[in-house]
Amino acid sequence: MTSKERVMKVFSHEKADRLPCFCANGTPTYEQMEKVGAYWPEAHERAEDMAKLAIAAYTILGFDAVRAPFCQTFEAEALGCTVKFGGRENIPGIDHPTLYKLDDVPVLPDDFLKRGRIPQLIEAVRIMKREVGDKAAIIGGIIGPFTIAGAMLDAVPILKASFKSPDKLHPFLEVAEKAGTMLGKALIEAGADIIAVEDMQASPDLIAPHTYRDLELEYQKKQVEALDAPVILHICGNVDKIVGFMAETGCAGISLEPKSDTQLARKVVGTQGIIIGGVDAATTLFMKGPDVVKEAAREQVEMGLDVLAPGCAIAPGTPTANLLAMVEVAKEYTDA
Amino acid sequence: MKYLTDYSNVFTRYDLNIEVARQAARKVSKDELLQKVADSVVKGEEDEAAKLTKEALQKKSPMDVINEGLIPGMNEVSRLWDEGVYFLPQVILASDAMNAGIALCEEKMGKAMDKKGKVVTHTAEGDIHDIGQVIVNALLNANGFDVINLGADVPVDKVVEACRVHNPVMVTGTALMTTTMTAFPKIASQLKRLGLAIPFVCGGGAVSEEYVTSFELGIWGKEANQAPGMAEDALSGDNWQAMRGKWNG
Amino acid sequence: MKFSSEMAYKSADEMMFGTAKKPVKTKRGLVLGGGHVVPEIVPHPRPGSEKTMKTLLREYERANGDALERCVIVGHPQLQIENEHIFQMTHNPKWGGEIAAQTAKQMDDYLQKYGLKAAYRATPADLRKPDMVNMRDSDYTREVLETFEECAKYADIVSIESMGGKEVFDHAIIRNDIAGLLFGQAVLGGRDMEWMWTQIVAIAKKYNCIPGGDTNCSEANTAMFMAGGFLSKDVPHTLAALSRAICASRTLVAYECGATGPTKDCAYEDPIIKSVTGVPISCEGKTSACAHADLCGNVIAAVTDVWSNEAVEYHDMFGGTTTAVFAEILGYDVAAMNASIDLGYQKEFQACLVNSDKYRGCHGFMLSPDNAWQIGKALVDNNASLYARGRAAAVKCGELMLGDPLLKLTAYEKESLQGYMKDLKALPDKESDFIDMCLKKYAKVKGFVPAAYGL
Repeated sequence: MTSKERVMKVFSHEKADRLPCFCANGTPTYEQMEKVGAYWPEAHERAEDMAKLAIAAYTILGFDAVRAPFCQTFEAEALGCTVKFGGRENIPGIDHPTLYKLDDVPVLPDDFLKRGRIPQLIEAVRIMKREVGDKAAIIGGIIGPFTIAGAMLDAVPILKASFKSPDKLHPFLEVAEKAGTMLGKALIEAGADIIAVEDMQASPDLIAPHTYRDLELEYQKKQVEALDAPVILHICGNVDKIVGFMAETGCAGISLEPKSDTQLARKVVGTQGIIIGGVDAATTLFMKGPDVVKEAAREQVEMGLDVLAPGCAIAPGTPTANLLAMVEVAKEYTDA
Repeated sequence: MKYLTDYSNVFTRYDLNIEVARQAARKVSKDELLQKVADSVVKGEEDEAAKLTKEALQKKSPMDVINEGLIPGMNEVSRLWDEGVYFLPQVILASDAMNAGIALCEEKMGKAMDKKGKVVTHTAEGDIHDIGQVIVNALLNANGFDVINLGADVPVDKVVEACRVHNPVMVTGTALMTTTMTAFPKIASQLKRLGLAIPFVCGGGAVSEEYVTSFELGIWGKEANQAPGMAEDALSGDNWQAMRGKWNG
Repeated sequence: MKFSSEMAYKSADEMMFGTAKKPVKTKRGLVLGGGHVVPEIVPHPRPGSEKTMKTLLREYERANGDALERCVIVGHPQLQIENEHIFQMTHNPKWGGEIAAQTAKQMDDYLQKYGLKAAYRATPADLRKPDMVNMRDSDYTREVLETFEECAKYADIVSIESMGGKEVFDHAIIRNDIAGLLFGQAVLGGRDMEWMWTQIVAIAKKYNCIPGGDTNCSEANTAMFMAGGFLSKDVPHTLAALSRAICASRTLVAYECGATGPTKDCAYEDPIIKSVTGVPISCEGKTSACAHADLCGNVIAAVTDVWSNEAVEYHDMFGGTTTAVFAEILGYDVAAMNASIDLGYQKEFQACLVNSDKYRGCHGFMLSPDNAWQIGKALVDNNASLYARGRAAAVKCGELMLGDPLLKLTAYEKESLQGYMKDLKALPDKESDFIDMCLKKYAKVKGFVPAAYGL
């Protein structure tokens, strides 16, 4: 069975030959960059380099899916936010001062898909599809509405507004959702099999659970419905308090950090939901050795995972050996 | 069989107590007016905090309003956050309310609050949010430290320079992403080279104890609410090794 | 084997500590459930003492001996000693047998010298681990049965803590899966118990030894410990209580196969068992704090016939060795209870024990005699199958917990319980349908071999 078949079977609730292993977030590491000759910052901007580095997740790590892009700035940049690049070692981020204040009227440009580096991202997905699309699943990454809105308004203002004046956030969330959905559709057209939504700003670490329920949920539901491919929803941190709402979005799969309670998530989504998660990216994968990685991976798989994955974006300094160890563990779980 | 109606002398349901305590802010002051000031901080109502502070200043000394109203209110918010009852936006709003009140008190005094010592705080270079720092800043401020807040995405050099200029008792760094925490050991080695053995408390979502204790000066900050305690230790003369020994595993 | 269809007691009001409907007499004259309570001390050997049979014999000679000696020193008239086998004692059946023989001799000496009446309970270890061996056909299985033979020659009573169904239980408990608990505890556990106990009773009869009883330590107690006290949140206390109700379906099987009691001390479900079967029960509570904490330390003594300390490792304390110390403490607990019986104050004493813990938590609540009796009634009224009665017991337990306003639950506990009740109601009525469903659902659980349970 090819990696692609394996992944797509799991998402169609059919039996695969074994547990799949891939990352719903960014995969690049310095070691992979050396091996394929594609580096940052070029790989954040140029389609060929982006595709090369994304494909490395399949060819070098043995992951069952490949994913682009590697940062959270594409939509925000195209909406007019200023991006600060991180050189050879880091991912780009949104610079200050941010674009909007709470009382401004946000605008979604008509030529949104032609702005910033979005054309390069779409092209990169086309390349990925051409090169490995028959063997590995292609994941297109978009950013969730609350996070894009946070980039537009800046983090502290959006948090305060979530409590003091939530009504004022709706125009921003609307624009943000439309932007993400447009990008998602373009990526599917370019060849993405799955869309992964990262919504860091919606984490209970930052906003109250009822804020997610009352403000963000409707926009995420809308986005999931509009996208014609399985959607993976990833929110960082401990999402126990909102995992029920996340399931309500209708997304196909929920990607969790091991900080969250996998068993609770499994209980909430039942047998039909897909749980993706496993090994902590910031500590275990980044700092420990393959044996510890394997133990941690197995422990989480036993709790009810459908896909073994790093808990969040892979830290670029992560040793390849640790990532290979994850794939080895996934191979232990065959469907005999 | 005979049954009691009141079992309070027989057993205590601590699990129920915990559930109740989590849900409500406790009383922090016996004085009604100061309790109202504290409540406004707990509610995160900046305008109300300002109004009530002005009222309170008519009857109480500025330091009393700060120490028995504003700061206890902020400590209560910190407790509620620790217990998972409050969320970050509420902490930020409360901090704004407290600062508004403190500003009015300092105006009345004609001078700034006496500060115990300086602490330089920052979020790592490349990290786009200063969220992690917000609560650290608020708590240090509430506990009488002069916070030199460098903000977010601060280059290594700038942090080191601020330390050279201000000579703080402690410097803190927050990193939310694994890509950015690599700046911390760089800061530490530069500080060392300059002869500034300032305790460097690092924390945040991506940061692990193992990583922070792998370089000199590094002390892992598990939770933001530890910051005031650590600053007190640094103020009383503990060096980074002593602090690491006390606060880390 | 027939499922119980009648209650031994017409009401909870009839149930009292010290007295059972079917008392059991031991070799040296102890009558368990004969009117007064008897203390039961359970020594454990120190790690390292199991190096050779000789060192182990010496360890038990001291540990058991110290307990007997202390009873004479402070004046306790009776003592039951239980030795729960460590691995080596069952893996080498001769070891278990030798230790039983040695202890029997010690007890004969004390009887003759001082008139102290003592009895010995040997509890072989259930070496069968589902994921390691075939439960019904393996070397371990044979060793277990052989050890019963060796011990039954010398011990007054034999018992075991059997492990059937544990692999499914472990999978289910961390997933809050009540169907899995029913399958693992009631269905699989019950089937394994029938297979085991038919043989144990036969062996015991051969040597005139008393086939005591079994416990669901490996499952219901695991749930209880994971639920912990007031500070833990791993497993809801309400789930642990339901697990306890379910396990009664399985623990009853031993008595339905011919076991006579005294039941096993760590079977907290014993008050339920007593209400149905009338056999004498052994319980543990506050004085087993040396082994673990529980939230029903006093109420669990309300209808007990033997009062135990679960397990204490043999070593020194200021007041002597641990077995001496706990024998003294247990004996004093029992002396007070027996004094109340002879004074005619036993009902009042019982009321004190019950009021201490009935509303302290879920376990204390459901094991109070009145509620335990009602759960027992649900078992006998729904005795079509292991599954049916286990499910009925759980539903009754849940209804009782939700129906008594004096039992306060945190929001989390209440919500969890309501979820379990929903799950229970949605399950099939017939055991055959339930088993079909479970065979599919738990097919992949590590270590689960349906054939090991005759499925």
